[in-house]
Amino acid sequence: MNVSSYVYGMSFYHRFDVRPKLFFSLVFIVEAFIVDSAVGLLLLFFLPMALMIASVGIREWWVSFRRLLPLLVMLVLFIPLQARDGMPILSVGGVTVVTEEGLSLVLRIISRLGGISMALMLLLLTERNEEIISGLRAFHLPYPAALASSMILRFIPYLGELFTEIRDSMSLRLEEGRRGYPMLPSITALVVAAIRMIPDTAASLEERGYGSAERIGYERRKRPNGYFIQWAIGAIIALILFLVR
Amino acid sequence: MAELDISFRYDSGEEVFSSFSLSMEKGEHVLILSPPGSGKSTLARILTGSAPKYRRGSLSGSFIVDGVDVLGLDIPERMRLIGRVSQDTDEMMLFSSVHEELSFPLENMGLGRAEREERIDGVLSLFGLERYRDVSTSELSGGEKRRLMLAVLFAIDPGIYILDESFDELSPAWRKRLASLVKGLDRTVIALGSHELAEYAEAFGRTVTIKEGRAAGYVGEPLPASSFPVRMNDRSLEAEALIIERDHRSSGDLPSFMLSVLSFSIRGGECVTLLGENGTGKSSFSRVLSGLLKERSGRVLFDGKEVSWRERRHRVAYLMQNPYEELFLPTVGDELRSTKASEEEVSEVCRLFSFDPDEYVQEMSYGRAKLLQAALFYLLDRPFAIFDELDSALSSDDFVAVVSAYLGKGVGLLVITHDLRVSEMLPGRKLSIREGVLCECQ
Amino acid sequence: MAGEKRKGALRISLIAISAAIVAVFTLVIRIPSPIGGYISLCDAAVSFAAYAFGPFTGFIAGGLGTAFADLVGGYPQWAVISFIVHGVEALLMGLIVRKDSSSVVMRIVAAIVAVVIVSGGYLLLTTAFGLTVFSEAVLEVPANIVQSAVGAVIGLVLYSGVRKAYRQLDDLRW
Repeated sequence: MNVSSYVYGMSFYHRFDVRPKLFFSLVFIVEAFIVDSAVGLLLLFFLPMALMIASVGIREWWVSFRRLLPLLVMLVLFIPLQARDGMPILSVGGVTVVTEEGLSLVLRIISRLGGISMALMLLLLTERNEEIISGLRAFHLPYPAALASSMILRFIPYLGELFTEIRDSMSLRLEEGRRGYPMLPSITALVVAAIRMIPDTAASLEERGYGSAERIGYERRKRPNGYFIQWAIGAIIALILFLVR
Repeated sequence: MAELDISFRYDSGEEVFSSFSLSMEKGEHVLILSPPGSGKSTLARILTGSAPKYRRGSLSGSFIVDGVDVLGLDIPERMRLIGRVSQDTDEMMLFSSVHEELSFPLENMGLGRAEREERIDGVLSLFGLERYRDVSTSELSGGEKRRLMLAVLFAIDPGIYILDESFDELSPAWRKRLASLVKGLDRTVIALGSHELAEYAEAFGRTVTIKEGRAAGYVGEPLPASSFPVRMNDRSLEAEALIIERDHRSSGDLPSFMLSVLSFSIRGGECVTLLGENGTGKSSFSRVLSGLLKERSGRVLFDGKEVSWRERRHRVAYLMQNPYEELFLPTVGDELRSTKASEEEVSEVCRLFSFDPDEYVQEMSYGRAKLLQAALFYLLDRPFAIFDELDSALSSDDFVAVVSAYLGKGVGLLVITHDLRVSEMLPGRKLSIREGVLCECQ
Repeated sequence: MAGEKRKGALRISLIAISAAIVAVFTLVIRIPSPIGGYISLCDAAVSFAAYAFGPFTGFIAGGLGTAFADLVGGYPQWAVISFIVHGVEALLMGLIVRKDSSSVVMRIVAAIVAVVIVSGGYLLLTTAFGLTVFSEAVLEVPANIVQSAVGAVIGLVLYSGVRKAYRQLDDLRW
């Protein structure tokens, strides 16, 4: 089980520092809720898509985008149900199928949902989870929260694999002629195995010095070459999107 | 100088130590050999402070190191004085990347970035993990995880190292390497083990044992006489032209491995031993035989008839490496009765393996849990059984008892081990895996 | 001071592991649904966290666990909404079913609240954020009702099963 969406690469967006990346992803998402013009909506949907394709290639873009597709298709199918009393633009046999207001409402939603989703996917595809957490520290995410997040990422694949093992071993104990695995005992075993790790994990944290007075404070991350140019590029894009909103 | 004298009792049960005392010279390497359940891991936890803080119990006594009573210090304050590698590697793993795992304790020691990176690079190469720097910890094999946990301890470099069954799960080559690393270490080292290993002799000057909660001199354990019962019968388990493929990693540059088994057979009541390095596919082969993994091609036959992979699950017992994955009911009695065995059989097994039916499974030590796992499959009465490194956490006596019990029932056994001594002690044919091919040892 | 320090490591471990349990239940464990398709058992883990660890830990574990499941499972756009919905679900369940007063009536009330929060919460938040049209969101309601109701019941069974096997469970509450 893999909890990292990161795709290794050397594209210009991979080389962007995580701090401007995080900051402008957030700005972009906030702007997604205020953009209303046709140009703005197009930019909202196609800019993150173009960046995704440019940084991880069409195939990886499709792997992520495919998950979004059923919902987008669903929204298109629901167009006829929207704003029935609006201006008809498509009628079949005297029955209004699509109204102008309905169409524009759904296109707005598709562009907003698609834009936000792809902006987040772009971030997860081009940055390692550890880097994202460390970048959030630069924006004053409290240390215990960052620590807990790192640990969650360690335990998700561990418990996922443990569940597979438990399910397998349960199936080894079944009587002749029975198949599958018993659901409740398996999930109970998983939870017991996970919960009994809590005191041991707390002990491990402390044995590794958690709570020690000597701990180094927050270390400012190094600034890569072109750090300010990266911020400037992000700001220009955010500003353009705001102006054409 | 380090002077230890402690008494300890868990809140949930019996006394573990009564005036256990041990004194060590600075830089001395001591080995404590005693059977599972005698308190080795408890000792390690008491010394680092996680018992009684996180495993409740009442502790009295002292552990004086250079004039300071370590037991009076809070856990993080002991970090530079004493550290341990736990028996269960997953117990102490905290992070998703190898680098974070190594960096965290060093940050807590207040080391700057340059010094941290220097230490991290040093221990990564010491334990052959250079390539795994940015790899996810969940993608490491059992042996690699063990090396990472050792690397963490060596990076912290405390005054006293505690190695709790750390030689187990390592391949023979890495056992040798660890022994020579320990030998060259000018720190005090306490190693804990359940049974003798050839590699111990080089690294440890003194061996003691735990007897009734006290330290006692260790008397060399003679190899148990190899008079295993012979109950050959007509059942058979065979494999022909098997090709097994498994993706080792979801990412990274390491290729998935292939194992080919031209022909393999085992009779009812026969004992066959399989030796091999880590990551050669011993566990995958076991999974195919027991029907948990599908082969890419080839056939598996029982009593001469081919059977589908799912049906194999009812014929082959597979005792996995981690016993807790196969145990899920509250007490020993609940577990044993879940096999639908009669009361007489359950009490017979309890006597045979010395279990108390009211004992809580989740409160048992790792080694005892392994023994329970063996008892369970004994009651399930499968015609064939695979022991995946069962010897690693059991005392030699318990291991011999388990093997004898199974063979005495006429079960066909495939024993997987890293330990040459164990392989020599067992009767029957020896197999090994060389360059992806399973073959008979000459 | 020492007491606070002592709790710190235990709290972080409790939160990280219980959130990971919720995430694994969300991502990995699926059972066939009575109304077709598959339902995830995420609500079983969320209500287990509420029953076992109380409202506060339940809130963080339920919220963080489902949010992480969305983030690593390829649906990052829902992470914030999941955090709110399942966080509040666990918070209210934990408040209703207080430690000793866990009578049958209260458990039923808690289950009903869970169903209302999950089905209503997704409906309300997805449309309020303008991430879907109302009619599509209504379509999701029946599946959410089934999933959260089944989850609340399984969560309870899970809690009593785990408590029997692991006697120290109640020590972990704070």
